[in-house]
Amino acid sequence: MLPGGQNAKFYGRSMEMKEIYSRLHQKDPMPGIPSVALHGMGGIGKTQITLAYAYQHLEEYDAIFWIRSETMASLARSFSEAVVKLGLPDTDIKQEAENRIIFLDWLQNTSQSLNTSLRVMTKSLSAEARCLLIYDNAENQNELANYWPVSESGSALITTRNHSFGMQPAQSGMPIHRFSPEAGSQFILRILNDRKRTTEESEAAMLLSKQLDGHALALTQMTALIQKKGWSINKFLAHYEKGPSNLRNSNDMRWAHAGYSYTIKTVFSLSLKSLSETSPAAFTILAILAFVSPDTIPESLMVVDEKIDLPKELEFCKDAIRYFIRMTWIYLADF
Amino acid sequence: MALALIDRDPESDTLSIHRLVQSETIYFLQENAYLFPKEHRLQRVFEHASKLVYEAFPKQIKGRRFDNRWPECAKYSQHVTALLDRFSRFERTLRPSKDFFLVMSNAAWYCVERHAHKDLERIVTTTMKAFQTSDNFANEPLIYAHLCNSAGRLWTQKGNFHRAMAKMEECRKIRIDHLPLTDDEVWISNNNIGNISLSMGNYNEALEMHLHCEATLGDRIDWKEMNYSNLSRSLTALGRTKEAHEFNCKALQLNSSWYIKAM
Repeated sequence: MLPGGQNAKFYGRSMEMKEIYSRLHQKDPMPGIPSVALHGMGGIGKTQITLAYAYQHLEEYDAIFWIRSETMASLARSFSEAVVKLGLPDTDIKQEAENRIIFLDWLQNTSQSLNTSLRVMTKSLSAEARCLLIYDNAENQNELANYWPVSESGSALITTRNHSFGMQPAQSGMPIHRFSPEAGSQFILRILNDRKRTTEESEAAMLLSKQLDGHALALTQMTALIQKKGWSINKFLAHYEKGPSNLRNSNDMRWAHAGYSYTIKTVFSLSLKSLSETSPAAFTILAILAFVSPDTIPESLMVVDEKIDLPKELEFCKDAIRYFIRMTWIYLADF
Repeated sequence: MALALIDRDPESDTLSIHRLVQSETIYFLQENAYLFPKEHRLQRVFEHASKLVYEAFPKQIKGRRFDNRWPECAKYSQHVTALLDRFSRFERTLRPSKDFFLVMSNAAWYCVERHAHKDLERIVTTTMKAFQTSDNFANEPLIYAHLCNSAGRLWTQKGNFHRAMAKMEECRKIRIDHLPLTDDEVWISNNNIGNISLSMGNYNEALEMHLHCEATLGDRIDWKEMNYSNLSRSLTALGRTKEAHEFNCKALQLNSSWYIKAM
């Protein structure tokens, strides 16, 4: 039940793949289903890494279930589709509440045969059948808890922007970071492999990788644009430096993979809109940080002596505790 | 709900933010301005950022050097530069605030002390241009004067003494117009003009100015040795070596540093 074929453009991430494998195959496992939450900003590559992992370890699992986890409705729908695919008796795709229980029950007692229409399965499940559950794009821990298996067999991966999933319900969290400039440039050149690789293009690829700060989605989409327009990377860089606003909204659907149709613009605007609505103070902090250097920002920049006269929107800066509470809305993880 | 927009390093108590998040946040503010109350619009956020960076960066007070506050300056200087870059990029949209001018004038002086010519030139050029095209020129003349002083020091360090003198004289005029004649900043302007005159080979003018500084020193003991050594240099240039030596000895008594000894 994977959302798409293997991604031919997937690059690198071998360390992350090894780390996932290691965490799911611990010698002294913790109680509960072996599980890892991959967390990081939108577009950094969490879903693609998980998909690549699933394909790499296809033979290891009897069944792999891809569960769309953005909302309660998508969780419910995914579970319903799973029970239908499994061909379990007395199920109706519309009975979502019942399907949840049926599927969780099935996971705990995997003794039924699988329906042969499943894309990734060809043999019956035994009582020791190993399943991989992939909860993609999880947002709410309480909602996910209702769909989390009690079984200790099998494995589970979560992809999420929220690092707290690494504490609950997953056994551990794994931050997914941006590509290094070198890896990002190799990523670009690999995608454009039908071109002659000159020194200028290699240097331009490095500059572009730095410009996009190793962001996987940005690299993919901007490279797609280079390909589409038939530009050299240097020419693209010149356009990008003049004004990236037109380029950032580009989205060549031929390059979208596994249903991921976000642009750079949309992947962030969802988070920003959510933040501005739920926590204006946290949004203010984020917006202020957009005006300073991106690296090594002392936290003391945001904490001000109480004697200083501040506008109302910055009053929280006088109270370090309130500041840190606001920051939990926008933290990635401590590292 | 943590949205994975910022990284935090608990060991160094620092944050980092992806460049794309920064640019997308600014685009978001611009494109959705109609959705936000005034306090979340780009201009207001820029003013907040300027305020916080200004409060964080050390302040230069009445001509005193940063010296032992360099580490603190270094901690925040990249953020001052970034703020300047953002302002430059959006200067058609953004209006510079008083805090923006203040932090730039402090950061400019830090660049003077470090002899960081490239950064200094960028700061003074961009900020003075912003000053001249905004209302603040009339409202905050002393901040502009401070920038002129730093610009004068920049051109002195680069050996362009005519340009340096023009800026120093502009600075002094503003300070004389708005401050008491006994003010520290007026004294500093006089001292700087004396030094540039010396560099330009105008030794008599240099001596005259440094003598005036000596007469108006008052109780500024920490500047006495500087004044004595400037007088010594001016007198040496004029061939009045005996008098020069006397001032040099006076300076040595106050400060036996290698610089004074070298004189």
